[in-house]
Amino acid sequence: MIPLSHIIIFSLIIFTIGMVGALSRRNVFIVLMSIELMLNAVNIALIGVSSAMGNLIGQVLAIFIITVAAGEAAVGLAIVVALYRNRLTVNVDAINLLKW
Amino acid sequence: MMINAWDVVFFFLAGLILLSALGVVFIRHPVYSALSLLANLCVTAILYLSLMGAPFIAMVQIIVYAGAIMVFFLFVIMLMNLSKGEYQERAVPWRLLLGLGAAALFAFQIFILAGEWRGVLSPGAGGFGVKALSHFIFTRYILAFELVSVLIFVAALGAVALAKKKL
Amino acid sequence: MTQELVLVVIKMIVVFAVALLVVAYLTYFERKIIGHMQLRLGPMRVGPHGLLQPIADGLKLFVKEDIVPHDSDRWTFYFAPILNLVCALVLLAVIPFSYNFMVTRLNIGVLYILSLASVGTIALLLAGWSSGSKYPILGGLRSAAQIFSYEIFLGFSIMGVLMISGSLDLVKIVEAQSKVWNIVYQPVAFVVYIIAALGELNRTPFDLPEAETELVAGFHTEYSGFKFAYFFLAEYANMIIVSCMAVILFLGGWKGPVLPGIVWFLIKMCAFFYFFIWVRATFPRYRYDQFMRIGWKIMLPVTLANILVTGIVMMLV
Repeated sequence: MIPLSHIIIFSLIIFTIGMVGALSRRNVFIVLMSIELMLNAVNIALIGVSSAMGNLIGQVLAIFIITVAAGEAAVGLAIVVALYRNRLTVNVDAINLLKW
Repeated sequence: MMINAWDVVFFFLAGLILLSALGVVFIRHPVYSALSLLANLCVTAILYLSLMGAPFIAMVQIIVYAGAIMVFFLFVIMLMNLSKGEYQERAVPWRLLLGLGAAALFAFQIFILAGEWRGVLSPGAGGFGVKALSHFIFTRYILAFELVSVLIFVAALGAVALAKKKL
Repeated sequence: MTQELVLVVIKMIVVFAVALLVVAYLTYFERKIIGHMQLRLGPMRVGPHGLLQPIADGLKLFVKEDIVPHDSDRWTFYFAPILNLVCALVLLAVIPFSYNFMVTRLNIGVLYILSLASVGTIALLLAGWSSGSKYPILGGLRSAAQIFSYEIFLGFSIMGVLMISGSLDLVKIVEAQSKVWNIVYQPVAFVVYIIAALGELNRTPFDLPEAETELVAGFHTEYSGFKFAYFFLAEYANMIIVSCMAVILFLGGWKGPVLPGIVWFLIKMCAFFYFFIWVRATFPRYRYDQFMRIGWKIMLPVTLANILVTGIVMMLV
């Protein structure tokens, strides 16, 4: 018997860690991976709620989130490849053409 | 207070997930970071399987995240195969501020979300089968399902268009 | 409770010990059969007809010097073969060898096998990258791309069978074939499954990651001693898994007249090994672009059409 609030707080902790990573790291790969981590934290909360409430809506949403995460990774990595080809860097700080 | 076996399982898995999540964010080298994320996703799948009665999601999590997304990541990281010097990052200047901000955000989230959840997870009660889940997806959420499939198709096309040198 | 636990542990030990022994002797049979197909004798020196050859090989690998290249990434270099072998052996836990001989019965057995097989890909990538030289990394990237794309057809070819039997449980899939084997209903899927399995296993018409004329030995070029043995064992363990899956999904598992179930299962499985070895002795290697073109331009449409036709027929009948 695990109270649902444990799961929610746990997923919030993971979400915060992912957010810190996405904001503070400068390597594109790690920024993308931190975003995956945040999506995963949301999944934990959704499936926990679905399991505790005894209905399936949370699981359906989790499947959609996993699908969107796959699409995000594919497009994100394609952007990284294109970026590396043009600027020869994977550092977010060096990508500042639109900044002035 | 009696210590329940399921509690032990939960705290053990939660500890592993937490450690590997910290690893993703704080390890310098992207390959190790990706391995940490891989561990994180696999342990999360075990959490779904053992405590939350969601075997289908657990397996989909491993197939899609560990088998596809992490292979993408490692593939691209290894394709570039950067030398050690190129991974050097400038240290974040306002580290304290960032930590405080994260703590504030966390407190805010807790303030909004915690306290209202009355539910209890009871593992071992047997979850939902794959049949119930697929019935749900293919009747009530059929439109969302079709839209997501269009989305993933567009994402695949977009990825090809972006990564190809010239079309 | 404790009795059940002991039974499970015994089953585990039996399955894994037998599997490792079978894997060792598979290498012997492969060399022997290919030898005879090429009018040679194969291994003859160690023991009668070379029967002790696998043991000698194992001993040799065990006492060899364990070389770690200077440029390698030490931890990953050690971790990759372990991950590969574990991902291969763990799959044996859900294979039902007969109606009641299996380590554990999962109601999502097919998904379990697909998911852990896909984690094995990462081990090959890591092995290639951590070796820190060019041929392994090229081999690793190739094998990842290859396994990654052929996994899709493998999954799609299984889909028709799952639709017919209406379950992800391997035991129920076999039970659904008590009258007619699935190969009768799904011949196209069966052919696609075999081709995809050859691609997935890096076996001969598609052994591009290990193409010795281009890449020395692919991702395990720098591996020696027991770490190399891990890759070797994992490759043959994967062969066992793929054959078991083919038997369960298409050839009716343990079903068969007169003989007990497990014997039928093993006979069918051995027929599959023989087929794989036969293919290796017969076909030349494909070029990489040809290989990818076959996969994406022929196999994918064929499997999708197969699923569509299966669905339509199931709706009408």
